[in-house]
Amino acid sequence: MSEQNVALIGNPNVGKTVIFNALTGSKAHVANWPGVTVEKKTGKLGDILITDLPGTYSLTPTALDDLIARNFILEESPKVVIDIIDATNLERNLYLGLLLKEIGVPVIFVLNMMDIASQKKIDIDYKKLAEFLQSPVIPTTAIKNEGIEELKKIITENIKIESEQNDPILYPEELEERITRIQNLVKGFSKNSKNPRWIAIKLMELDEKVTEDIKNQPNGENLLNSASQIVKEDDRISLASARYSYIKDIVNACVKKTAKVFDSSEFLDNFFLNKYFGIPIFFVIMWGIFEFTFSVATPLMTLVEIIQEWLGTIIINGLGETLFSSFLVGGLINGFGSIFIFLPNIFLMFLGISFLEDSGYLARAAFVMDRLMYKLGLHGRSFVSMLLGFGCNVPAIMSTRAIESEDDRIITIMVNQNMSCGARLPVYVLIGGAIWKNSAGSIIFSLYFIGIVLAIGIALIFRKFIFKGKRSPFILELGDYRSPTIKYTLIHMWERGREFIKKAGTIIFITIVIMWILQTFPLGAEINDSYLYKVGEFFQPIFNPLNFGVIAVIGLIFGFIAKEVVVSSFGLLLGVGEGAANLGQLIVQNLGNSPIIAYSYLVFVLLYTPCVAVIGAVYKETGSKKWTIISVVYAFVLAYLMAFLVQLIGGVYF
Amino acid sequence: MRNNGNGNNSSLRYLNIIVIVNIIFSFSIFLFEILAIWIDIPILFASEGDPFGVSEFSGNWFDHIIKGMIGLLLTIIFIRSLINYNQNRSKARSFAIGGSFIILGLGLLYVLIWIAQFLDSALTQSLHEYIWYSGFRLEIVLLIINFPVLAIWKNKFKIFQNINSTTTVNV
Repeated sequence: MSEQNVALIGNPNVGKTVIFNALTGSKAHVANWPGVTVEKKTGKLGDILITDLPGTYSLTPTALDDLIARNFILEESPKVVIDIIDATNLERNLYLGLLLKEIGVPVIFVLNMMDIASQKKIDIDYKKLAEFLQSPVIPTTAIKNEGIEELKKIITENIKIESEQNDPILYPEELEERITRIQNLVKGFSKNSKNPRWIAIKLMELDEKVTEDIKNQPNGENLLNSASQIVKEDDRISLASARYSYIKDIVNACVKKTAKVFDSSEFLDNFFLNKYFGIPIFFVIMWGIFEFTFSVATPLMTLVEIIQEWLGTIIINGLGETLFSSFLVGGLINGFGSIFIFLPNIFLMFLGISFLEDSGYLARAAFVMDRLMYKLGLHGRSFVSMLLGFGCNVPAIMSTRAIESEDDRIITIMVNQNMSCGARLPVYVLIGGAIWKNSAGSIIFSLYFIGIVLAIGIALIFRKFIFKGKRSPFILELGDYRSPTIKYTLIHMWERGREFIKKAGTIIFITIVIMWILQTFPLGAEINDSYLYKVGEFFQPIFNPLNFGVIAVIGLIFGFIAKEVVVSSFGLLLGVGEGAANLGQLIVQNLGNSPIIAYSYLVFVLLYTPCVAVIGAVYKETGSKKWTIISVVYAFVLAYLMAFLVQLIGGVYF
Repeated sequence: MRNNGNGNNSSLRYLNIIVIVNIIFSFSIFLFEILAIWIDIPILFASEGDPFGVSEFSGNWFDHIIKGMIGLLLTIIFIRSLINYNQNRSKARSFAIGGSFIILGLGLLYVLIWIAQFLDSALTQSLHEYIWYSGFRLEIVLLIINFPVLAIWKNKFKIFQNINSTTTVNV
């Protein structure tokens, strides 16, 4: 590893990624809730390689993301570690700082969110704090870019010097005596050990990773046996208490609260986290987002539609009716156009979600849902991943790394695909808009709601019959509410939306070309004789009980590759030369002119496997072929059953 | 705005009035939406002459249910604010301001929707029809009434700092 290697570490939601972006000029995803960074990210500040590590409280390898952070510090030996500290909560944040000092790595402390500390009348004597910690302390407000230049300067200076290793903590005498005895044992065991004191402390804390590492070495068992005779049962608690007691001394000496101020976050939480109203308020807010997504996008969709028709006319007028112009208009413009027309919806939905995320409300949503989720078999942290699934299921599945319990992790991965991602939105908007017009926003909301309810239901079944193990508690730190900045909200919207555009340029493009070839050949044949139609005819009997016609089935087959293709396939097979509004009506006609069949089709699209990328993510995160196959099969069966149920119940009442 | 140190100033009095007005209007929305479901019910069974079968499942009733439920929820929130006024003033204020924020958000949403529909009508050249038929929205009235709450919130540090909070959130 390079000599010029710097790691960014800190508790969750202290602004590590904002600082990482400010230092490296990157645009990594930032949000006002914990757990955004689930794997390390790297960027460069001049020649210095900067690594942004997932948020961690204690370097105890309980969850996968904590393990990533700890392994990096221990194995990659960064030249400098930058510990980002929330200036409004020094007591809790300094704990990690002390652990880092204990490891013996050179640390620069960054007191971030100084603006909020100042609002809360918290006065920090950071020069005195630097003396206590024997390390540089830099105050910053990263979101406003304040203090970043000084931080850059300190990093560049510190990376050139060999820092002295100081251990700021002196534990009570009785503990120190036993630390020294174990330390001597470690020194005798391995003369090359970089930090025997740290290993001794970890052995006293019964750290699983360190114990495992020693066990795997020759004579490791002997060392562990000797150490276990010195270690006392409550050492872990005694060590933590000693650290907190030291932190208390530091805070008393360095921090002054100059006035008691009104805590607006606590005030608002009385309302948003209310036991009875918290959940209904969450659903009202989500409903508002879908109304916004559907209604406000209308003029933008009309604009895209006008451009699409104009392009088609120019091509036909210029090239005449040839195979190539048919490919351009029928394949590319209608295929892509039927997807691109929904870009406004997708971007607006991401704008809404980014706004909630940046304001700090989404973390509250996870908190209010936790009580319900816990009763129903899911982990509160799962809801954070599920909310991410509204954007894209792939990063949502990856975010489950923050869940400590393996059982909870697998359950969350399994149900995550029920959360309706952005790619499914075009299908809802097209069909929903054609049938339910002004009420489409509410109908789309109902689909998202069904997704959440079924995810919870399925989790309950998994918990009851497959994963009966002990459940881990949910601890989520709720940061302060903040006014979302236009810059970051728009950046977040763009980050999520551009994935959709990227996908359109790659996998969707290839799929559309294949579909156009299958639809065009044999040349001159009617659509019903095309190869594409024959593929649909082959699979259609499976969907007979659901009353889905051949074209609808083709949409579902190719939708397995990427959900956006469902709309393109209708565009190719029905909408040649037609605008999106007309296409919607043609689809409804194709679905037997029945709103109930159309709704059951939307439910099917909601519930079966979102795309091939999700299958890859499930395999990567579970590391199991068995769970990957189960995820595909159960999603298909659930989609089929629910679509059938919708028609059954709908048939009785409508 | 004047602050006499007890949280009893003109802003807070206005907040109290807003709570009462919001109860009346939110409950009205609830009643109107329930009435609208009742009006829509005959349409559910009238499918003749409808080439797409759209009216069989118009979705309007679902829309009315959701909006009606929002009206009911807001009514309960503001009533809770009134009930809590003498026992836990901080909680009562949280409910009043939180409920107003929800109304402001939804009101803003309706303004955006109105602008979007207006622009869409301009693009599709049906502007004349749109202006002619666009109706008066209760939500807009609520938005205007609740707008001063933003000013009250902006002065929150002065107004609320003397209110003793008895509720803490344990995370």
